Amino acid sequence: MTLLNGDKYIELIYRLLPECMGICLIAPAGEWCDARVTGLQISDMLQRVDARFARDARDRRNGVEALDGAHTLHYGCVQDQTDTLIVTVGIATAAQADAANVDALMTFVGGFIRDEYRLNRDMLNITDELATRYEELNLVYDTEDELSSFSEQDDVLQKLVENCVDYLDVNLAALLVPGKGIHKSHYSKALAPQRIPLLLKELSASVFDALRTSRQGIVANNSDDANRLNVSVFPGKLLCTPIFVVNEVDGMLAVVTGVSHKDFTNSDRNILEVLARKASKVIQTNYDARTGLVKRVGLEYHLENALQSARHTDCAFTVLQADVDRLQLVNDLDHQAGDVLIQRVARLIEKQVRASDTVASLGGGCFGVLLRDCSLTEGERVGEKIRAAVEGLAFEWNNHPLDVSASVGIAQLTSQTESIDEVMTGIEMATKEAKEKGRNRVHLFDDPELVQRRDQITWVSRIQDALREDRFELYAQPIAPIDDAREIRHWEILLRMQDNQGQIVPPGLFLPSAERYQLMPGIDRWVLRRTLELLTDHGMNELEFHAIWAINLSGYSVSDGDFLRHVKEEIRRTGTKASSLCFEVTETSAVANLAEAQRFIGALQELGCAFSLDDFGTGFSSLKYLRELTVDYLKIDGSFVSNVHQDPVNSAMVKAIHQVGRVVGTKTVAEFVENDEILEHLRGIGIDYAQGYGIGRPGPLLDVLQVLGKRHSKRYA
Amino acid sequence: MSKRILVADDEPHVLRVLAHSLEREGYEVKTVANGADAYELVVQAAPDVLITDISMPKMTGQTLCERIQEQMPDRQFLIFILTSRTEIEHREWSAALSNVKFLEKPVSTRKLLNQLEDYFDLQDASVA
Repeated sequence: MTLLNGDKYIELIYRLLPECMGICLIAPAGEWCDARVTGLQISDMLQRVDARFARDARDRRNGVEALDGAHTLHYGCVQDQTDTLIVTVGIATAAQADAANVDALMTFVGGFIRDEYRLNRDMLNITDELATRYEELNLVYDTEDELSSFSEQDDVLQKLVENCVDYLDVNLAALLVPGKGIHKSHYSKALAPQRIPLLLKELSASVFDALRTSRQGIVANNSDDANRLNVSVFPGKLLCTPIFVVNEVDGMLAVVTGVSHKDFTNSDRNILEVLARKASKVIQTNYDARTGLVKRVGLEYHLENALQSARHTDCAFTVLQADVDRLQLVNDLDHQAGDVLIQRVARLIEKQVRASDTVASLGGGCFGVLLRDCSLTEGERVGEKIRAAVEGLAFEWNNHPLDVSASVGIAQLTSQTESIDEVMTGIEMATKEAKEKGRNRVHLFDDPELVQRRDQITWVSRIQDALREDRFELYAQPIAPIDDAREIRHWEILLRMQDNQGQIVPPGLFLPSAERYQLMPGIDRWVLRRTLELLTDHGMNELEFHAIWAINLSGYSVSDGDFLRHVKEEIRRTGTKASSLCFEVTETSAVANLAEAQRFIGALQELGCAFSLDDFGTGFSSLKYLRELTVDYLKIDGSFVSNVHQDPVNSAMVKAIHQVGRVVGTKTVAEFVENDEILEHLRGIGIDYAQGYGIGRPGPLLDVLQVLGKRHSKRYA
Repeated sequence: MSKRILVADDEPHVLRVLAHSLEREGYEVKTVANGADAYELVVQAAPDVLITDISMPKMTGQTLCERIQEQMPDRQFLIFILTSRTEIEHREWSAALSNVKFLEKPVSTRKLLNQLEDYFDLQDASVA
């Protein structure tokens, strides 16, 4: 944008002053001249006007002088409010022209020139300002401060320094957080590459020291500022601002530019502070604000990398968790006391490990440590060092000495480790064990009971995944009347799980975990819903013979009042014949919740469903409960049956159960009938039904239903 | 002779700031607020660089570019298309265009100036 257009003023002067013979306008940005008569020495005019208003001339009054014999030169100037020359004017007239008239005209036109110039100059300044603000705004918009993963931090911070260089038009931007190993920088092509290492060194030394003292932004636009602040990045201009992660000046964001760049302003400092806060927010996503240690996500990230490297290089890693004992007592005393203690323990743990190890804060006075290239024995030694150091911590609060200790749990990470969850669970369980054994001790995650419990915990998530992804499958095993093993109308529904590779997992592997960790209600519901849907889909409610489908229920479902409502609802929804369903509950679970079991069994029998007491005989003293539980079938536990033909004691047990069944009017079923000899023996006793490999192996329920459906439709055809 | 740049954007402040920053670097700048006016100017005298927004009244940046491509298959000048992050789908239609660059909004003026400088340096070098 040009601040002044001289041509239109020449035009204006000619129109207002017809006797004018030539005009020249001289502005810092250019000259405009015009002569109306031949022979007029314009160059002479320019020289004279220029000489009159030389930059240092004090006398800027308008005046008149003879140009040549025939012409007079009228000269004058226009100044702004600060007496800066905007333009100088020369007007040539005939020698006899009225000087006062020309003078008045010059003042008049000068007013217009001044106004236009001022408006244009203000507009230019405003646009300049707008352009700067716009860049700042875009810089803030364009700079992320959210992380979606631990590893993204690097990219986000790198983009932040690149944006500083691009938007703020500086030569170098650097983000340094030495304690976290964060060193990001970016530079423009205007900066000589050989200067960069030195600049970065100065930033991280003298400039960072100055920031730590000042705790606020530093602007140094010249060497005086630099000397005063005791910083040395010169020649150049510097702007830097602290980054607070843990209430300390943990790092800095700095921009450096050349001497020709316009001075850094307070506005620049503000914008850099906004970016420093963004950087700090990014870092705080990964680092704990209280201890400055990496958070759980960070430990998991490093564990994941460790696991990869263990698989590829057979490198040994040991992972430990240290949990401050009875932190609650300290917190109850004073919340601040807890914070101070945690900070001191954090520093203490850092001192016991190498710089190459990773110490993380897991929250609540709990720390996780990844020891690289470290055997279990060595890890145990480090764990003991940490325990001893915490115990030796002389911690006082308000002059009260407090006893401090920590429980440490240790686990190994090897190429055999399946997932980092396994390790995390391992150290948690080992720490818990250390606490239960009396605190202030180190416990290794290596005893078989812990391993088994950990395996069960890992099963939990697999079962939950399988439930969510519908990876369960129903099998059915036939139960035959003992006097005619071919006339099968009775099946027990069994559950199989597919692992995430599609392999079938036998129930013995996952049901114990499901029982222990309360997953059975969900599984029971799934089995019930799926069975009833399949039966209905395959027309099992229209069979011309009375089929019975036995569904296992866990003790949880028996005592869950809502489950009964759920069964009724599913029967209604699918239109299943209630009389075709039999529910099996184990003797143990029925007896454990006797009153609830009675109510539950009674309610379902009222609907028409049948009931079995499963694994009967293993609960020993429970024969007398048979009086209270009116069930339809007793399933004699397989342990009595599998060698009933060889073991007289078992044979006597089976006989006794059968007789009790007869008396209370309950049919008996023998499980584990593996061969004809057993079958014969049971037949001799008078058992009603048999189930086992000797009768038929379990197969997919779908296959059974398809066979039955075909046979059924043939009979109707 | 200074390079001539035509900027098309319907947001007056974007236009003003861009024009200002470009002029400050010595470019000769013309600005228009829609694709139709831009097309008219391009036909009258092709600029050295056209910078255009996509969503504009009367004629969108897409139509503008497609029409230029159709009418001036031998076009020499470069087109900068200003996109926002959510407009990645525009890359599909623009794949048919040649001699086109993208700038993601918010546009850093410094980045734009650097790219222009690089472009003209390269051009001058190849001419020489």
